[in-house]
Amino acid sequence: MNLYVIRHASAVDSIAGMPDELRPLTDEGRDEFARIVRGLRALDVRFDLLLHSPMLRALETAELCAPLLLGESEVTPMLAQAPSGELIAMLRGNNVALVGHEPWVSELVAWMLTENRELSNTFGMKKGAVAVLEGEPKPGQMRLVGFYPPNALREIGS
Amino acid sequence: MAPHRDPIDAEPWVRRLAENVETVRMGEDVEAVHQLRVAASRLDVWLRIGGRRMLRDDLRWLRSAAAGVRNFDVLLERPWPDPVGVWLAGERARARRQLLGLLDTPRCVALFGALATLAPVDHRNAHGFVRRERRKLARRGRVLEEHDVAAAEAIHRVRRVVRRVRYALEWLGRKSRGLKALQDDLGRLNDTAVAIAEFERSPYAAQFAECRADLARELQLAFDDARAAWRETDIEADEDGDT
Repeated sequence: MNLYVIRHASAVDSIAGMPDELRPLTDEGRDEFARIVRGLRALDVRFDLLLHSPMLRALETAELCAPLLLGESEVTPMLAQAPSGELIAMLRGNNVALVGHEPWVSELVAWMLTENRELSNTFGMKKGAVAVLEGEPKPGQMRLVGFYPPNALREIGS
Repeated sequence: MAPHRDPIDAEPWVRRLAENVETVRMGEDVEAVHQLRVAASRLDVWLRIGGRRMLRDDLRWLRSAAAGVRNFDVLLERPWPDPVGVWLAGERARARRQLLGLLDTPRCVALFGALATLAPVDHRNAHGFVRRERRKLARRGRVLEEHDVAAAEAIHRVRRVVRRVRYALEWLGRKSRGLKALQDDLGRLNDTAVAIAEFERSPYAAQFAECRADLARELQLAFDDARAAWRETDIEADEDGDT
């Protein structure tokens, strides 16, 4: 399995009275992530499953990934919390994308690569960053084949 | 079609979907299962109007589980020989257990949460959507003229596009009596096709051959009615939704 772990694009700052789950992407975040998607497309990336968190900023980021999606999408609260066995059990297919939030996306990357969640700081992901893992989707059994900061994919997509 | 200029907010139908989920959870209200499915279909059209791809598969997943129960509710309105009726009731109970299990999943909870975060869609998208879907309907509807009842998949596609045009009009505060009548006839045709499929799946199909013959006649009649409705329907016509 190729697993694409994606952190949502830049969202508006939290303001008083606005629930965190309602924070949308900024216009700039949306434009930049559209270029990231073009970069992924240029790398021939396609997804046969896209899982995303229900929070608006992740939902909007997933929506921008729609041109890469050949199969189904699924909303899951498992991407709005610390990674769990339940999340891993949802992974199926050959090319799976996950759109979620920090600190959990880097914790997931650390867990799948090393089996050690404590190493999440080593794999800290900027907004719009994409980590590409390959192998059996089990903790400690995947290999890192790409770790794209957002500007790299934007360059590829320009 | 009179212009509708307000942003289109899904909130009333998200609320209705959640209310029907609660009613289904609480008891055996047959209508709530139907309304759950209708609300999910309307929200699917709203997402399409907004050009959104996400959450449509989740709504389809929910709608499909509700349809599993609804199909048996419709089937059980018919008179069946006892063993077939008992078998259908058992299948309906199984489908309902499956639906109830699904309503308690984190995915279902997340779906409602995610739907509630979405901003209203621009009315101009809806007008464009109606125009495009009407063109599709004009093209696909020809199957009712050019083919017979055996073209099941093509007829099913007509039914789906009729539903999309009708619901999109309703999001704009419009309605079409003609499309409603056509949708009803195509729905009856589909119900009969489902009845045939389930009857054939039952262990009693060979034992009650007369049921098969009755259903085949009914299917042909439903197709004839749908064809007549298609000929009578002006797919470009719509009226004020409040009249």
